Amino acid sequence: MSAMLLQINDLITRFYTEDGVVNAVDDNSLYLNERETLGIVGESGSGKTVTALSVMGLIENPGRIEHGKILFKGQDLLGKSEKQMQEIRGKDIAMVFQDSLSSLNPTLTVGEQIGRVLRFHTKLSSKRIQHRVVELLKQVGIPEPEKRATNYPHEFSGGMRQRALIAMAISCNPALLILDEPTTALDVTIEAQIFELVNRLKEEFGMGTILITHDLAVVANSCNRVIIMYAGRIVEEALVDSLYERPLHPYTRGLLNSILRLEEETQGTLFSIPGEVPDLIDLPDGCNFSPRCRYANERCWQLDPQLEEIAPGRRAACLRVNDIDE
Amino acid sequence: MNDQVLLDVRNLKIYFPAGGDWFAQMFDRRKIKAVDEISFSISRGSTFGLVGESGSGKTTTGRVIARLIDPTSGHVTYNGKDLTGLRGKALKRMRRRIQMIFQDPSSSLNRRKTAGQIVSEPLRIHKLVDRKGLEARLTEVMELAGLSRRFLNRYPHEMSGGQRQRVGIARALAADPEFIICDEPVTALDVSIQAQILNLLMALQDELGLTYLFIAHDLSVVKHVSNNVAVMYLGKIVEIADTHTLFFNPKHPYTRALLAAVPKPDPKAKERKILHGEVPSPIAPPSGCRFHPRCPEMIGEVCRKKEPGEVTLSDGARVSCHLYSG
Repeated sequence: MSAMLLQINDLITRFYTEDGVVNAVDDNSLYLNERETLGIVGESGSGKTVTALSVMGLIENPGRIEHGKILFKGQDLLGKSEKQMQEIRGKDIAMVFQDSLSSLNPTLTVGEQIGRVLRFHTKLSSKRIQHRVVELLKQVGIPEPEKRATNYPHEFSGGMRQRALIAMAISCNPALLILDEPTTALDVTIEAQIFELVNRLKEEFGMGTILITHDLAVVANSCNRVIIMYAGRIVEEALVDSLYERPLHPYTRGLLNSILRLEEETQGTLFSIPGEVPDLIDLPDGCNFSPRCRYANERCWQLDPQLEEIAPGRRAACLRVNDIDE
Repeated sequence: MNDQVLLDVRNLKIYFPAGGDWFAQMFDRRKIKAVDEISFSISRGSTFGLVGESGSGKTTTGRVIARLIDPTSGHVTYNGKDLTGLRGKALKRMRRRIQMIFQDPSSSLNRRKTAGQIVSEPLRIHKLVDRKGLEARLTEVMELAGLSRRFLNRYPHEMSGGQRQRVGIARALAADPEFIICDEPVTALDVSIQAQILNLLMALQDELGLTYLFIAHDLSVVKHVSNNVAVMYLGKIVEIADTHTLFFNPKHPYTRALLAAVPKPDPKAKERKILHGEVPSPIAPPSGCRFHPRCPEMIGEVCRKKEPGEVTLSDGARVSCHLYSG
């Protein structure tokens, strides 16, 4: 059993908006082992990104972390000051965001931006930093790295910008890398290139990685373990193989059934989950998924299901988990 | 057979000035060859899929057919009439028959208007109903799109992404069109909502006898909805065939690479094949075959020097590749 790199206990993150209190992350616990890749899958409003931002210490007003512990290498991050978090962010924990254009400063060259991270976190000389920047760009597969370091973000393609962000994220050899929908805006051939790169870097540097995505196919290819989130709650957790073999939660089943498969003939009406994701300000009574669930009964509309261990390493939050096996 | 054709695109070229405004153009007379001589036709009542990565020209093609932009040369014939020459009243009449559904319903719907105002706009412009008939027609199209009339008074921000896209669909249906250009209609939607919208579009096609041009980068979506598919790369159609042939017996190396890059929702699947490099600039496309710098199946000098012509193979697929021209 490898050591635990990150442990989140009973995390509650809420946003106090004009319209009401948004229960973005609603009492969730999860962990990540060293060198492991954990996929967090969910649709919009599931709480997957807010979970990551809570780890990064980037929850801003009107958001508040109201409860819980976030232990990184045994230290509680929630007890750290902003100054201490600044030292951790980018050095020990790094995050790559979905939208590469807005994550980069348009007025600075790509090389300068990566250099700034190194200048902040290391004592390297300017010359060494320049070398390191070029080396990093080369590592992430950017051709002509010396020349490219002097380009501005708009001179890069979307795929190149995402590579540059990954270069920035790995610049200080972080122990934990969080990727938030890193390829959603990219074409499929470029997406394949980015994941090849991420998988290579993971092996080379042995980072623990959290991959946040809505795409179950991407998870199947690059994660060890998966967490499925719905409306602020973790509804299922499993090793990748067992999740795809035998999904337990009706929501996970629905997601897997509604995937279009290229290798199969599909015709006629697609399987679809009826209804819409609930309003996080006004969640339904009982199970959050019950209004859309084909298995829901009286109890599901009243009782809130807890995430329970079904088998070792396997958790699900469903009252009917044992009744619905076809 | 020919009388079945609703839309015919012949030798369509769309070039944009590379410079930008008139001043920049004085110094930069280069052209962006967004679409470079493509031809295809769509039969009445069918769905024609247009796939390709960003920069392939698929969206530009859709815009020319909707007459949102003028082509540089070539013809678009709709129901026997040349659309490219139409002006004034004749154009307005034709526009009623051809409608468009856009990718991002949050930016393609006016946020200051209610769903009712948005959907009634085409009815007003084309003077299709009098004041008394308006209410009934609005209710009718909203119901076709799967929304109750309660939504008529709501603003776009008061709706979910799926509901907004349904309003976009209702607006397209209001003018009682024959032909709808769907430009990435499910790309911005959550996984569980995508299947709902695809089912809706297919049911509407059956019910109203619609013809679709379905533009998307997601191959599995295009495969599910289309009868025929064209694959575009850098302004050219590289392969065009019926859906089954294209997906189960792809001919062009680019089509094959694209299919191999799609991640499979199965942890035991083989690794994705990586197509290296990026799509080159459409200002100066590569010599010979435009795909040759990235092509894993290049046969030699000829690929670099000579642009491949289109060949029709025994199964009806039309391919532009030197592998087949010998």
